[in-house]
Amino acid sequence: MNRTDIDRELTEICGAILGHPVDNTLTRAGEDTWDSLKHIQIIFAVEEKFGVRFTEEEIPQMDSFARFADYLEQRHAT
Amino acid sequence: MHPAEIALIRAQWETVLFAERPARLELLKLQAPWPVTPVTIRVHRNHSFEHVAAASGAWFAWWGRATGFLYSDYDDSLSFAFDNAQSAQLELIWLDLKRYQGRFESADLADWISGRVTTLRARVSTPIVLAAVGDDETLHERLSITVRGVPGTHVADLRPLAAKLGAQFFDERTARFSGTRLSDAACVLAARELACRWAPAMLMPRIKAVALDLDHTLYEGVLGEDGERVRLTPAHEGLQQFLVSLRDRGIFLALVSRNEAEDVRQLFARRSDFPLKWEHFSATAVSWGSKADGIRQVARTLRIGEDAILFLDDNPGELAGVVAELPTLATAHALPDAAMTRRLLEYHPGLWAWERGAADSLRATDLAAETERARLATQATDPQEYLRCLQVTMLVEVNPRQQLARLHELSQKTNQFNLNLQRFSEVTLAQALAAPDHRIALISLRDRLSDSGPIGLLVARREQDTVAILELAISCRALGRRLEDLMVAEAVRAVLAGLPASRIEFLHRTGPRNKPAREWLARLTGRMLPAEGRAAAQEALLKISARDYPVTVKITSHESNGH
Repeated sequence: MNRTDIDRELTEICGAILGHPVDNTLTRAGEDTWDSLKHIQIIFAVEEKFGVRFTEEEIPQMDSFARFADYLEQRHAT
Repeated sequence: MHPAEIALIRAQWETVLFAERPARLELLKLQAPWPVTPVTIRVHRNHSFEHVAAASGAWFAWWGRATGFLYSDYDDSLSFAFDNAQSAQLELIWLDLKRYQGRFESADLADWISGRVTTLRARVSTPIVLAAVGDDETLHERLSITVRGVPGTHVADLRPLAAKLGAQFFDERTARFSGTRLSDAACVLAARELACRWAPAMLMPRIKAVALDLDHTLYEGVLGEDGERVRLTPAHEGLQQFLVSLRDRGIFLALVSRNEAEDVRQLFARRSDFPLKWEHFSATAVSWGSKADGIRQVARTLRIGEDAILFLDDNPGELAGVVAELPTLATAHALPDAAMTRRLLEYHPGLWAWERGAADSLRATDLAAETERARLATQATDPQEYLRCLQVTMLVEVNPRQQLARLHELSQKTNQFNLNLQRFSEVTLAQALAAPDHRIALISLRDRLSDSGPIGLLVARREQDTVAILELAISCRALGRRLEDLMVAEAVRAVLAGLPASRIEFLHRTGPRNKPAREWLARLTGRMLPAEGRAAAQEALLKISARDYPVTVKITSHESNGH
């Protein structure tokens, strides 16, 4: 899966959970609807879709579209 | 939106909704374009419920509902600090029992929770569901007994989900962030339990019959082409076994198929490997006519409304065509994967019940006996001979507290012979059973052909020198035996023993399908009825005597508790 595919899937996941269209500039700090409950739902959906499992330390670190995308790109590259 | 379009979209949703492990993201993509009725659920919790709620929308929409949730704070003490002005249709107590570990013995904790549920019951009359997570089996068993004793309350069992998911039921890794030990998969499956089972079982009338297509639904293949060599796959065998279990739980099975009737009979006669047998169907409509007509015929045979039937067919176009003619009919699409079709039925709103009632297993055999009763009625030279031949025993029980669930079911499910359509909740009925100025009579019938079980309900309240019959409901299974007059007269006599009065008035109102009850009352009183009101009937009732009927009447009273 390349970065374009990852971005497309992430856009769909974040948009569905936050309830409106998003792009790859999305950050938790800049998005009012991205609260702690939505955060964990995004984590769950990303794990389900990409077959990954975040550690307890990684969960709070995934605070932007880019961080998710970087993490997933790295996992899919290795 | 046209019902046919809705049926087609619903069919497309099924593979997501009834997957063995539904995916949260796929669920979120399903947005209902059809009208939905709002339902509010108040959640009293000591761990997070939001992840369950967020996954539940598509299943609620499938049921035609849009849910709003009102949340308590995380509150181990269950103080129920909520504003009564905010009304809800369902109260959900959502507990992680691990949070009480070391603070209570199992029995003490069960009793304490039961006490808190009783406190909540005193504040609200809406249904209550307790769903507790934890692995203390003794505690769960005790809770299921003590909490079920609170009227209108049920204990939802999450242990089957825990067994299904094994180590994946909990996710301690995310608990700190999600507010619950439950994993994402557990939250999603709990959402399906809530939206497809717990809430519908509390908030909608139960579906009374499943009408089944044949080809590619009950087996793989086409009878007209493959003959008796149609294939019973292991998944279809499982589906048929589940359908038989539905019948044992009081759901009628019907066959609605475009085929040669004789071919279908032969198929069931020769395929001994089919768990479903011809005699399991309480109604059949096998012809080359329209399936909508077939459903109408089934409804007439079963004496139920079309809105109490779920029609299962493998052809979405057929489903759309039928609901275009019968818009209140529930439909489901039989999928090529019969295991998924079985899961669809396991979770279809209105099919699942909290518990199996004693009357459930009697229903199908009692209806089957009706054919023989009809034959005897035509052969008998007079009504007395007909009743003598049937050897009828009628039992009237006053205030049968142990039958609260059946009293509730009769009030909720009876449509045709229901005079005042009160649809009493279990809580209201429990209050009436405890009130000194109320009496409830439960009528049961048995004859030499079948035991019909409890089939009639009468709720009475004394108002000075008058006994007002707030509700009279008799199951359609018991109608047509020429016993309605006697049943009502004996039930009224039984309640008068505890509520002496000189005047008897029936409360009545017009509903969509209660014409038989209204016609009965008009005939009894000799007067036309207004759309709603009260009708005095003491003189007419007093003329009805058990001595005029060759029927054994037994009256028992359970009035010792409370008054």
